[in-house]
Amino acid sequence: MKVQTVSISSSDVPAIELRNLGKNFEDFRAIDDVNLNVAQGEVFGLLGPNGAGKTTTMRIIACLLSPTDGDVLVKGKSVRDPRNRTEISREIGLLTESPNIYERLTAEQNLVFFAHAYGVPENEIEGRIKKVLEEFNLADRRQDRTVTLSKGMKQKLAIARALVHGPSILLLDEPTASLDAESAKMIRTQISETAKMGGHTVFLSTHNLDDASRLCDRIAFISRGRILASGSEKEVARQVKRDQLDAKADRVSISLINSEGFSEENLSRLIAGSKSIHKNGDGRTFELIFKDEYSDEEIDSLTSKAIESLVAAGAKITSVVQSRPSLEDLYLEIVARERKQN
Amino acid sequence: MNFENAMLVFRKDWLEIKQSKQLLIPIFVLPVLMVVALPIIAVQIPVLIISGNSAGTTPLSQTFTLPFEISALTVGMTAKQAFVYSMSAVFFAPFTMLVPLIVSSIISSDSFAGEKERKTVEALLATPLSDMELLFGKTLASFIPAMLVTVLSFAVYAGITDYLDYPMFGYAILPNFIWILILVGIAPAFAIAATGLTVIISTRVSGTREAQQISGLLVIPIIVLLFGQTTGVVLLGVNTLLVVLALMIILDYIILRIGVRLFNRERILSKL
Repeated sequence: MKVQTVSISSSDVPAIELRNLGKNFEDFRAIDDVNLNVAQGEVFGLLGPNGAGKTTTMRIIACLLSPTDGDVLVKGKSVRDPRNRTEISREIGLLTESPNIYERLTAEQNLVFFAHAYGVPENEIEGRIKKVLEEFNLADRRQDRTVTLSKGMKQKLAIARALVHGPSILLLDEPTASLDAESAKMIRTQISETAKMGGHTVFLSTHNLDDASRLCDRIAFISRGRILASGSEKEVARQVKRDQLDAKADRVSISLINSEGFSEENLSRLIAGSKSIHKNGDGRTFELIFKDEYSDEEIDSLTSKAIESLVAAGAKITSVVQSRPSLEDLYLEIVARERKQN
Repeated sequence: MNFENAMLVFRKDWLEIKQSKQLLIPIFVLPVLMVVALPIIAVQIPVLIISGNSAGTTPLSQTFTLPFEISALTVGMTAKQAFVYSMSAVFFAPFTMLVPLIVSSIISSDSFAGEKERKTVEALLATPLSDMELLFGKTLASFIPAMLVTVLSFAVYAGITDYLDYPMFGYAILPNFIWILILVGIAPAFAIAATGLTVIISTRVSGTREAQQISGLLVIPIIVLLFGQTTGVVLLGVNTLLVVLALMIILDYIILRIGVRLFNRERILSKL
């Protein structure tokens, strides 16, 4: 018998792997059969409305809650095994929804406490604290009690605290929630730089689409504890459109001067790949929706061909407007549906 | 359990306590009142009674009859000395039990429920520190200050009492055996009970105030003791104190067992 050995490098192991994860709080099913993989070095965003299960998912990854069903593997180690708790905790830097810093203590005292709690060797603590404070531009506030810091600074300190023990994975729960626009931008920049420079895996939960769009390599939509779609922003948009939101599909509006000569039936024959064509109330504009299976690039190509066909048929086109639902449109539609169902 | 890790939690909480006026003021109000007001009351009452007795003809010994157990402690004293002694050294002793109880319930409410209220508990629980290390560290953080305040209060109380009463007795009447027993046995037992009860309550509630209000129920047995002394039903002599101590040790054991069982991450976070 021939035995084939396959070596798996540490980078092949996903940083975080959720396998059929389920969590009940008494009769309430907070997480339901969630499967996700986050690669090492990836910035992953979990998007969903309040109560969707984002924080619960993060707490399970951080060994704060135990799964009811399934498992979570952090760098291949199961959160179900109590012997892995210390090791997993040290791999993770957690930023909770509120800054979670001790306001009666100084910035330095906060960092010293957490460095010790995570088992950073005594001779490394000073260097680590200096590094994170400089990285987050807080060096001059080191001896200040944190109650005197602004909200944005507290959030920066909280991220510095999450990084002080040198974790490879950062769990960020709503990192820009309750911050003003300027502070939110500052925090986004900081997270982005930290992820790039430090090579951290970032698992971000948010209902801020801007955060997800700017920061994440991949995202997942979670609603009522279930993953609705996951992948790159484009992949998620396509999945959500196909599965949930037909009304929000890509559409092309074409306005013609001589529209009276073109009925909906004529246009259907002329334009390849269309799913539906409707004449608007003004009588001059047609709304065209392409079939679901087409990618964004294919839709662009079909739109060009449609224009060529119309011109060849004698249509005098005044404008062509292509509208594609943004991530925000899709997200808001999901939230609206959730509210209706509740 | 790693003792160093528990001490780390203790030191963090200790730093927080020192920085909080909201904690320090209530911690010191009762002891200050107690150590200043009670010795003065003890000395002034017999004076007021004698001056209120119009002709000054009724001796104090006929106005008050001391219970037998105290009479045994006051053999050879004049009526006035016996009265002052029984007030300062016996009747006011239950007030000393209030100090560890109140101080430890104030600190432990802030330490356990307060961390939930201030939303700092999640980051703390996410550290590799074990449940036992957290529990032990936080228990120390309320027990040690409670005992320090109790011992300090007693020292000042004894100092003022002896200063005021020395001219009457010609020797220091405190500390006596009752107070030493309270300091080394009863007070720590009450401090542990208050901390343990607050831990249990803190796993169920999300705010400091709720935790303090419920743990404040522990004051009831002391009020009962005070009331019992006033009416003569109970007297905090040595025998009674030993019974109270035995009961408190059993109560502490039960409370700590329940506290250890309830103090876990999942339960704490589910009530956030």
